[in-house]
Amino acid sequence: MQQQFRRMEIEEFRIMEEPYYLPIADEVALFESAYRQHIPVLLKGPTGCGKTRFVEYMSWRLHRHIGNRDEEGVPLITVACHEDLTASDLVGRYLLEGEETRWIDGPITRAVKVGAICYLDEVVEARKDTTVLIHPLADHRRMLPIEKRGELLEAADGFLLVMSFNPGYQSVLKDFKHSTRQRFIALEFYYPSRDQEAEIVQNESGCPAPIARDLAKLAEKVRHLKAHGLSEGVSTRLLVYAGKLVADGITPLRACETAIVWALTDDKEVQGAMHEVVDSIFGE
Amino acid sequence: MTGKQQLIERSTAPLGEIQALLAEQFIDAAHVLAPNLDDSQLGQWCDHCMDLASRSPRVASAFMLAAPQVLPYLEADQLASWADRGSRLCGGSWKSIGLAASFYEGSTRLFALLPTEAVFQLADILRELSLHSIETAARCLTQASTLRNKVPQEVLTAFLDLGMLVARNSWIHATLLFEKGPTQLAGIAANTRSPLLVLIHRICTDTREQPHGLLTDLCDSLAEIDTPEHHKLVDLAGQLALKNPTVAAEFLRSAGVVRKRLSDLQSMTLWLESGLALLEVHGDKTTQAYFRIDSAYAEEILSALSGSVQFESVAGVLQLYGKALGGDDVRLHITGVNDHGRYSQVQVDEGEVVYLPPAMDDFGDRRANLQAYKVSVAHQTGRFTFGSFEYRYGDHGHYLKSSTLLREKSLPAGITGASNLQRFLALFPERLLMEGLLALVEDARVEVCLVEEYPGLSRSLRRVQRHAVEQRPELQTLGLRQAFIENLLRASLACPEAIRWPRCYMATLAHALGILGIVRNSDATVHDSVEAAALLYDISETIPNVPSRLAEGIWIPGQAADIPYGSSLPPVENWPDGIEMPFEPPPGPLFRGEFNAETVRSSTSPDVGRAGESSLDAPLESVEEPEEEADMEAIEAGLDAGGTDTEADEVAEEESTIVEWCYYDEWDFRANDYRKGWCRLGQRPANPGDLDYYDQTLHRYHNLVAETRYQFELLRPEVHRKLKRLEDGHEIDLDQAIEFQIDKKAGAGPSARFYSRRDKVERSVAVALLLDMSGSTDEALDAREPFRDAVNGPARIIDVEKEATVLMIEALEAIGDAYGVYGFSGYGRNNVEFHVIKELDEKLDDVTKGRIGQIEPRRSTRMGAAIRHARAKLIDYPAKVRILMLVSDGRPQDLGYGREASEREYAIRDTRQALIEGKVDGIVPFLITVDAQGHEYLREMCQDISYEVIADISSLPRRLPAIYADAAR
Ligand SMILES: Nc1ncnc2c1ncn2[C@@H]1O[C@H](COP(=O)(O)OP(=O)(O)OP(=O)(O)O)[C@@H](O)[C@H]1O
Ligand SMILES: [Mg+2]
Repeated sequence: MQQQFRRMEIEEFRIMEEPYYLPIADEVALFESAYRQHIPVLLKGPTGCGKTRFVEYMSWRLHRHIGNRDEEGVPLITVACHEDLTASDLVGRYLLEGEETRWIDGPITRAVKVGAICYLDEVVEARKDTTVLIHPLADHRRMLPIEKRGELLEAADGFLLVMSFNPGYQSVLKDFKHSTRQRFIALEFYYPSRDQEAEIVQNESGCPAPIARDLAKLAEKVRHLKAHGLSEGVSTRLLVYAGKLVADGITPLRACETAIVWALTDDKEVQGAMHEVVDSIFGE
Repeated sequence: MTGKQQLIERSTAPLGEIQALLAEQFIDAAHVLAPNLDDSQLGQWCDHCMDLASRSPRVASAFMLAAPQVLPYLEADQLASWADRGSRLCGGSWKSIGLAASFYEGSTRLFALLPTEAVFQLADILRELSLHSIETAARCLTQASTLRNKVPQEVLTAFLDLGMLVARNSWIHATLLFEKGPTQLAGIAANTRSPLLVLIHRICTDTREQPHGLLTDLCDSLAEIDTPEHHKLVDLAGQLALKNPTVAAEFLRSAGVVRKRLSDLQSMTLWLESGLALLEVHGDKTTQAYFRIDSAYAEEILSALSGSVQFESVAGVLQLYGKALGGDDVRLHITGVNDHGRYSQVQVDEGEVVYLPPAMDDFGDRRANLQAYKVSVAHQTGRFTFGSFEYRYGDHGHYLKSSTLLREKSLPAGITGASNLQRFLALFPERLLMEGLLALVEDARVEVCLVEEYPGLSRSLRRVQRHAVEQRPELQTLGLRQAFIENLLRASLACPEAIRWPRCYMATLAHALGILGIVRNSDATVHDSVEAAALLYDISETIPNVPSRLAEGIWIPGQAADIPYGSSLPPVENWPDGIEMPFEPPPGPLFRGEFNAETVRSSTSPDVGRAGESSLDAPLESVEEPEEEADMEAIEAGLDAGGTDTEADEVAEEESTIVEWCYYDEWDFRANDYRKGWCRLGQRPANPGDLDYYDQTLHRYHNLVAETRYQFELLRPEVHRKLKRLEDGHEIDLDQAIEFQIDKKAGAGPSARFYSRRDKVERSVAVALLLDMSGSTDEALDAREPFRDAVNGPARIIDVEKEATVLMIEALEAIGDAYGVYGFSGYGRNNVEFHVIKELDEKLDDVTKGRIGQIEPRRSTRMGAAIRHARAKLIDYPAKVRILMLVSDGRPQDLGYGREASEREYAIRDTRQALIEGKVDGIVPFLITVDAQGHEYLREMCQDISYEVIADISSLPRRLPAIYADAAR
């Protein structure tokens, strides 16, 4: 049977086609500079505002423009962090093969070796003892100790550590240690301006331009409700979803209802208010 | 000697023996009576005299004097009944003697006023009352002599029947009934008074409800309704009473409120019928709640029946809608409409105020009315989002150039104004005219923007505009200039078809309409509006405000002339001569709210420094404010001297409880340092109380309680969390163990942490809940829930705080976190009050529960000290996570908490400092405010501290536990 999916090693993953990314401010230049200077980067911002997309874009762009010595450019290795993530999960572990044991590199180790961008998504979710592991990697040493093998790896030139987190909704029990925090420069992401967001939504969803503009307008209004019943404003991602539904033939009212009003909250009153806003923009 | 003569003489002697005067009075009276009575009647009368005289000469004398005078009003055979009734009032006591005597003395007057039967009825009532209280009877007798003037004949009987019932069942209220009843009834339709009384009689007989109370309630309720409808409603209630009298009473009680919400009597009948259906299925408790509008179902039916939308019923949604459209600072202000068709309470206020009426019933159906509310909110927030207040003096518009330079020339020097706009307005001698024009032009522009920004509202906007035009005053009743402006206003409402103007002056109007048209361009700015208004001003100024009839020729519809951006000159007209009428620009339609040119937003201030900033730059004054110190001393003096003023009283009251005093520093942002030991805080247990409040609240919110408890229990499983990666434990974690084995095999310094344990990990969370008990929490929630609590009046902020606390406690008990509940208030830095409702390590019991009911508003809000005290408690408590939740209704405020009473900077900075101190110690602060305006100061106070503004206060009980669950996840 023919394989329907593509299989690859993680360090082979690089972004070959230019991802669509609309720069919001000078983040591209800052990131490039940080990359050249080997300074780890922390991306802060609400969910769905383009952090992941930005990293993808940068990985593609660095590959193209900086022109690393390695012809294959800058791979992107992403690790989604969760509370059960162990050091072995990141660094690597021994596996049993017959009677033999074989060492398998974890994602960080692989990134360190090939000089990839290592993107730790939602890093606050990880246990603090796991986070500490990256400390020597994230300062001037750029070293990864592999305890189990008694090795110390020096990161390849193209390696860069990037982490993301959303300062808004994590609970009070979770925050960074200062020693972790102060190893990164931070880029703050926020929702794009109305015009930029309209452009993004139109591009991403393929919906008509007026709809994209109205969606961006709606987002602006809905975001006013943050701290008044909404704990987080509507993300660009949800707007793109709404746009995609419209592009696929769903009426804008319904699309917004499902992708925005209901998706955002269960509070009836807030839903009611959002519904009225949607109606004011897309209603008859 | 005749028989009669004998009868008289036989009694005279014994009477003479009692009192000589009595005999004389007897003979005088008897001679008058004798011709009118037959023998037996006269004999009875004599017997009465004898009997009374033997009991009390005074009563007998009054009787004998009155008899000849009452005779004309009575049939001969009724004399005995009269005599009898009086004598029955006369018991043994001197009080009852007085009562009987007054009855006889007043009888003549009573008979003159009231029908005989009524007087007898009254006497029976007095007799009944006298069994309970002779004073009450006497007072009612006095009141009764004023009855006739107030109570119409046909109502009397019913009224007195009710009087009898009161005398029997609740005699205490008899005086009230006689004093107030007649006036109360005067507000009821004349044909309905006796049916109403009969109905009340019936209801009260069956239910033993207190008749006068019911009468008062029903009269109050009916007073809200037009009198022609009274009869029908009472009739309906009468039919209902046949089924269930209590329910009938509730129906009428709320009829006034219900009627206001429904458009006609027909809907009232439907309302009643739904209640009846309920009665059959669910019985009377449910139905009573329905008619009290105390049930969701009632609300549902009411809103279904009424096309009108009550603001209250959509308050939550509209408030959020306003915020969504206009941002944080938008505040909805509900106010009635005065005689001039304007909102009655206009505030000059910071923030973006949107004026709305308490109910919207311009249109037949609910949706249309809700849309009308939305249009109004959108228009008024639109002024802020579309830049009405962004005018900068002298800037050009897209279409019109600034005329300020030109206009300044023609004016005497020194044009000033507090804001850019005011400076501009000052260029126009007829300021009112200019303001009126500017409002209408700018509103027209805003409405064009509205259509663009909110296409989904455009249909509703059209409808609202058309409706507004229908309400406009008749053109020809206005002065000519007013009519001119009125036409412009109609054009601004996008209804040019409603324009009428004398044909001979049409060129001028057409020109003006052309100018107004400029702001219909979607890229027109406020600068275009301002300049267009100025051009219109120039034209309007030339039109005399003479009575419109002086204008010759017929009035015809008009159209805008095509003028390229106001460049051409207006035509010259021959205006009619005449005496001018006083001029006032026609008021704009209500939905546009108040365009207040006075509204000074900081962004529009001319380029002088803002007031706030300059005060900051001022050299620092000595920190010790002499006045403040004096105040403090005064208070302290009061404390020591234990004077007689209330303060001292409270101190005395407090001395009975144990007060622990602590001292706390306070942050002075000007000095950038602490004032050491500045505040004295007295901790004391909150007043004790019983369990009623707690239980009632649980009962009231039982659904919500169940729901929150459930949700908090879901949070609980962590109690049995699986702890992984331990060196020792109950179970082996397979993944880890395998890894260990492999590592061992590979000789790679393995970690032996492969055990896991299902452990009873205590959720180690402690929270201190700090409640604002300042005086301002006494405020009612703008009568939002009029039926909430008939006994205690509408709910106050503190009530909601308390209810939320009860819910919070239930939730916390479910999850098992440690919690303390405290209230704070105080007055001055020496007397910060800290009330302990429950300590962190105290168990929840009847004592702690009882205290909650006793939380009452007290004085000021010195938050800093209270926060520091709560922090001290939390620090000492062994928990991994410590949370401080502060619920307040407004900004910190106290005597001497800031340089002057109005300064908030000091208080805010100190509070912020106190919160940060807590944060440093690992305490997580969370602020909740129920002050809709609170966002601004919270933003300042809580830059990196979590907070939430709860705009709709009544949702606090629901939100509080939710916020906590979120924070302490
Ligand atoms: N500047 C941008 N240019 C192009 N697309 C964007 C941009 N910002 C957001 N998007 C769109 O928003 C979507 C969500 O962005 P992304 O997945 O990067 O969010 P995120 O910040 O990583 O969110 P999370 O924190 O939830 O992971 C993207 O798929 C993309 O469609
Ligand atoms: Mg992401």
